Amino acid sequence: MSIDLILKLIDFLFARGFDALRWKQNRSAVKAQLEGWHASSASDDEKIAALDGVVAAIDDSSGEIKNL
Amino acid sequence: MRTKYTKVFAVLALVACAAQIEGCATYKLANGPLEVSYVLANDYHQAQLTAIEILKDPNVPPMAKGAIKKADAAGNPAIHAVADTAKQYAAIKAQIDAIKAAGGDPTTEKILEAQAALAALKAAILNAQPLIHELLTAIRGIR
Repeated sequence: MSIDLILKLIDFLFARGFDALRWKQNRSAVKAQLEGWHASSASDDEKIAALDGVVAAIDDSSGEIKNL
Repeated sequence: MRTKYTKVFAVLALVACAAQIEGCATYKLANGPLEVSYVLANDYHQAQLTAIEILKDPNVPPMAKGAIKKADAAGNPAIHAVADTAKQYAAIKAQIDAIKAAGGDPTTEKILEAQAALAALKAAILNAQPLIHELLTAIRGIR
């Protein structure tokens, strides 16, 4: 295995690591939300409100993506 | 052939596997249509946040940035479709729950309506998933 290939592999792993860390952090937050819903028997209205909140954030991000 | 890197890669694979299992655990908790919709939308938003950081990088070529923008232009309405059909399903489910709470039986028409709403939500989720994958592919193509 050449040094260049090893360095590229490490770059790839670090890049993956950053994304994996963000997604792992998000999964923890989402998991906590779902566990909270189950524990408190959250109503469908509450779940829809949470979904609306995420969709609003998605729209904000799409606006930013469009302008970058 | 075992090398001195074998253990490193084995540990990395174990970490990646744990992350996947945690991901699976999240989906296991998402055992209702509204929960699945929420998890899907969150996944998409997290991908967008990564995409934004890439777009801010001046070293990323314009063509690569275009691929991200194109993927998001398709993904955003797909997520909206998931949210809209989720609300329609929740509304019909609420009507059925109210009927049952009042001691009545929902009509066949109402049940069919609920089944159709659930089918529409499932179709919206299935439609959104490859578009989320498109955005992730555009991101990974740069990284």
